[in-house]
Amino acid sequence: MWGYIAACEELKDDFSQLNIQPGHIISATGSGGTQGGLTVGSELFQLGAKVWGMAVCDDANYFINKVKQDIAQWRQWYSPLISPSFDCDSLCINVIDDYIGPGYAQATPDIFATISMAARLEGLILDPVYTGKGFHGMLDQIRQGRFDDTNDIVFVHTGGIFGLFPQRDQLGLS
Amino acid sequence: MEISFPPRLSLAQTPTPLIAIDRISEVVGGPRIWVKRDDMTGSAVSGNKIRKLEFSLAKALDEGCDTIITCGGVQSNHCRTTAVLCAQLGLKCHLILRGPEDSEIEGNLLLDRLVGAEISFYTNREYQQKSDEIIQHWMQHYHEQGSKVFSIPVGASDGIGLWGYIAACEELKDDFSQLNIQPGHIISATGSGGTQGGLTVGSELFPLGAMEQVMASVCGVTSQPAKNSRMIFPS
Repeated sequence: MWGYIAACEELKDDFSQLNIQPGHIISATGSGGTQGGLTVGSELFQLGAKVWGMAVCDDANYFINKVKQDIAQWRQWYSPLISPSFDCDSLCINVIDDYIGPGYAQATPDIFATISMAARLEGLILDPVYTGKGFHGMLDQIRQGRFDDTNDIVFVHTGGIFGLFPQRDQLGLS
Repeated sequence: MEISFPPRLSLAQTPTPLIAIDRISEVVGGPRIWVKRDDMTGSAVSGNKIRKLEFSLAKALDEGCDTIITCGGVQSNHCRTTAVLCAQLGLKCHLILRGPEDSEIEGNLLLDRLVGAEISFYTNREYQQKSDEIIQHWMQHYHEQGSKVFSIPVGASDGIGLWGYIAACEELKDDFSQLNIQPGHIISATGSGGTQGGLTVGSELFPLGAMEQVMASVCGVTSQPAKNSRMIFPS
């Protein structure tokens, strides 16, 4: 949890230096910890952004419960460090589970197409297990107008590019 | 001495850490070994080449070029870094690779392809005997298409690329001062010579007070691989 709580302090500086006020922060969510940290940190550092997790394996209910559990445990373990007025129960946990595809580490052809597009247009390397699904889901939701209420939106690239190499055949490069 | 640098793009994640590897130092005996983690200059653009390309690509953009040609082995780190950076900058990239056309699409070559670089394969013999002609041919090709093309030599190792590791010496000077160490030697692998050249000049310019030495026991990316299975560059 602390990892992405701390990352929110960094994001706060980023936003202020770039003079942007993103309305949404999106990441792939696989075990819930990044999303949990972002959700708490966004509130603690008052980023003013809604945090979303794009599920890469289990459904939205699973992740909402998992993130709630992690936050409750964080609260319990570190209660001396946390202001009693910080209300964990009112935190909004937003999960989108429409882009899991066949399952964990298995991506659909349109996710591979998004990976290919991001690489060609931006030199941004995504993987089929986490960031490819998350990024693809974000683009699709943008196209559907879900994030029309903001001028800036932030995707947290959580790494994992080595997972790309074993799935090269699906990239259509050979 | 005040050093004036030519135009430079901010592409690499620098400064990179300088880390002591004390367990290995203890196993080996001798001086404390520090590693300048230039494998951490980026993710898909990891490695030394990005430091040189900050200067080479700045020059290309200054000259209004829209296409970059460079060359190397099929698994060239330099070519992969150039291809990814070109995608990030919105430039077209054409790689002249030494190796068979049916090379396994993995590692660096996979990333070259993924980011959409144009790739032409040439045999060892063609590459060794005619690399200048091949590059001229492709430069002419793009020129005729109305593109403005910029050619970067193997490893970005030339008078421009040299600035990369000259600048890195400024970073090392800060590292040494913050860590309060005074290393007597700086060692790197040497493949196309540009890292060594930059370190040699920079170490003197800043002055690092270190004698730059080079380990060149593996030299697979030079143009004459057969002769270079073991080759020591004079410092």
